[in-house]
Amino acid sequence: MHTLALVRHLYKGALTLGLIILAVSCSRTTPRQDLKPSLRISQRNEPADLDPGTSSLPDDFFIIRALSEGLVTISPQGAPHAAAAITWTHSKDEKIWTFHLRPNAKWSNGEPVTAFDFIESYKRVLTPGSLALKAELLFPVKNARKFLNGELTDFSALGFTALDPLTLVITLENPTPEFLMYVCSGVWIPINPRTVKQWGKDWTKPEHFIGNGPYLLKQWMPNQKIVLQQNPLYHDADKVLISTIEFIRFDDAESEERAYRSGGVDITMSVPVSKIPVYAKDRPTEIHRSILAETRYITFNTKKYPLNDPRVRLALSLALDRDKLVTDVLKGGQQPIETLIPHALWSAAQSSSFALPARTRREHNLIRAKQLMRDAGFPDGKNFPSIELSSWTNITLLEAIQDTFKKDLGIDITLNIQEARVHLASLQNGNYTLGLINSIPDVADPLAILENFTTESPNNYPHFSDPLFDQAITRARTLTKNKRYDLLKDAETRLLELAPVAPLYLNSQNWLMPARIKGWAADPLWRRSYLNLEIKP
Amino acid sequence: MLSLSPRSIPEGSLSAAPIEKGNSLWKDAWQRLKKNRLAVAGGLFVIFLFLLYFIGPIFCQHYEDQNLDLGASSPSLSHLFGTDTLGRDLLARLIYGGRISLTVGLIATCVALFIGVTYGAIAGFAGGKIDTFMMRIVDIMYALPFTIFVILLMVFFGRNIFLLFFAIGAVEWLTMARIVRGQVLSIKRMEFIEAARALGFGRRRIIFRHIIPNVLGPVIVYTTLTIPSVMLLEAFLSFLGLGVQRPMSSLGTLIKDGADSMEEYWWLIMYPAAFFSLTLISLNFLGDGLRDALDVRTSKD
Repeated sequence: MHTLALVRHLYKGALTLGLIILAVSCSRTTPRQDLKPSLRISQRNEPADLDPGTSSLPDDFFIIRALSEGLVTISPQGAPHAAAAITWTHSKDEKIWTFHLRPNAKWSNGEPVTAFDFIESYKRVLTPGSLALKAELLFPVKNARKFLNGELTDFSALGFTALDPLTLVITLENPTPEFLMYVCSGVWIPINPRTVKQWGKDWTKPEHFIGNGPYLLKQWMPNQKIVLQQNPLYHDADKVLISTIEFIRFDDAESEERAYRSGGVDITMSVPVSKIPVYAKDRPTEIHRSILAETRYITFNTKKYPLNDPRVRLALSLALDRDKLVTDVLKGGQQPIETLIPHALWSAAQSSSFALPARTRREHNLIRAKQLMRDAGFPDGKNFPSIELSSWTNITLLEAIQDTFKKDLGIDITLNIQEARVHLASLQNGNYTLGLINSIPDVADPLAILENFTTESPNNYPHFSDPLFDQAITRARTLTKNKRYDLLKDAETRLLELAPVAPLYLNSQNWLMPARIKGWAADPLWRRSYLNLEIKP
Repeated sequence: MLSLSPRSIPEGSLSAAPIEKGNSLWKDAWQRLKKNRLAVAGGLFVIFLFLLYFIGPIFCQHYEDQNLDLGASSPSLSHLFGTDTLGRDLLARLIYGGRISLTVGLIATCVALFIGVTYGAIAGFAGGKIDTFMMRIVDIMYALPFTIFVILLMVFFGRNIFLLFFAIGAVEWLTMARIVRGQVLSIKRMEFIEAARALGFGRRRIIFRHIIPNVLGPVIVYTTLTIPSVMLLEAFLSFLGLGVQRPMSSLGTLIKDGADSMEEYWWLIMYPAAFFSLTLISLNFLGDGLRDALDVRTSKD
């Protein structure tokens, strides 16, 4: 009896307390007239870190780009756009670039943003042994590659000079017309050197984070949500029309879509395949689609038997029916491709566009694939070991591929779905056999994609090594315009013949977003800008 | 005068009434089971499912044949239960998946049965310190978070269907061991065991020939109730993506795939879910009926 009474008392007490808290919090959140709206965006991969120097996944940069900004960013139209630098000029041969920084730009702790901060940030990325995964995006700069490789120890020999706190001069190794495209990429976003020095690895925690972007990091609940709040010190604060952005973690398209319908999220990352026709029919203003420059491909571990034989790799690549996979399985507006570089990228990089390669008919491809398997000593898949295809997503696609290999080549494969980071790590360590992966170019430059398959590249998932290919890429770096693209085209052809990868399709993004959200720019390279983004009442 | 001669007892009264023919325990149980309509229906349905799952595949399409042009189609004459998003016949996948689920249920239960009965019988018979020690081990195993244990096994040893049988069996034997131990404790004090001891039989013979046959009743009951719980566990693991390897199907994976798109393709969730529930319900009815029939004391609770 005693305990029961106590419990009842406690219960009553808790109830009263709860009511009081509810009343207080309600009165506090009464909307004021001048309050800007908040936005909830779905985030599919939990960021490993929010450090622009060491992050590599585009998903991480969704958040980083709201917290900090580089010298220039990409405008929604795809052109370079003033950010931390207000103007820039370059020498005639496009080798020396001068950036003039904003005099009113401030870090979120009030310190001015200077050219020295930028140079310190780049030094941190290029220091040998740094954890930067995308350091190669700084390689157009004079001696940057040598410094990272340890061939050069004097940082002042690199092409970074600060004429005064507001003028940054960058000297390049070779004339690089696309240099601004590199500067737009994530690794060029600066860090506050003093904060990083003070807190070390912990500087990205919400209580320490200092950025120069439109938003501040307020809260980071791992695997739940990341909350950003408007930065009052931001130089273009009048372009920030949303006060709070929440990045909410979702595991898959289904849970995201359910949350969208129940009002738990405003912008999703994707739409479940089965729901695309439903939305297109019932709520056409809410479903959006854009084609990305993201190539999805199967990478073959070229160090592992039997995939060390280029004939086997090519056979596997030829056997895939890309059209069918795209139209009958993916059904989201993706484009089948057999080459590695999106055609749009060639034409963006060069005015005279390359003609689309003639697609071979699949029956011919299949005959060739079977022949190749016979030549390699696996007629009808005899003696072929069972191999594993791993991925971080899309089990249905994998099942369709599994069926194709089984039916057409007589090969048994098992499937393995892993968490994105585990998957990426196993590709990097070469601890896999077949892997589905995507290549999202950091820069709209074919060279940037092909460079990933050189022997020394850390993103060389197939662990592919071909001296001729490496030479071609090294030479292409020094060439300009047409000659460069001809050489790159040849290099791509060689790569496709040796088939360390089997390109499948150009990905598209389907997402849900109500029509009242304006100014959301879909960038084919997965870059986002949160400026001028608004919610109409 | 007291003449109490034995002859005064009427003769024939002993021989006249024929000796009532005793019923064996099993026959009694069978009689009781037959009266339980639910249990009979459950039993019949289980037999039907067995036939369907194990003979059915001969008559229908292959479970992994894809037809991408067709895609997800609603039930029709050529595909009685419709097809999934890759154009695979749902009936074929259901039959195959049911077979996997039932096999997992049976094999894992057998593993649990074997380990549990042996362990419980030894602990109960040995008694004393050995019993305490063995039962504390069981208690410790009980304390392990069971799902995490299975998931860890899967992570360490890879996803292998035989491992799945084993892993589930290895955690399901605990309850069985406790039940058997309790029964053995009460049986080993009975006269017939003492008789066996007096006759000089060895321990092993006493355990396996005299004790275990006498605890079979509760064991059978518990087994029939374990099968559905193991099937449920398998479905749960498959739902988490830790179950069978694709393209194989189990009822759990089918339900998961169906649940993802149930608003568009109702048949992908309805049929697997209906079959799964029916299988579980009928196994449970059968188990309940057997308990009532074999173990009269507990059934009155």
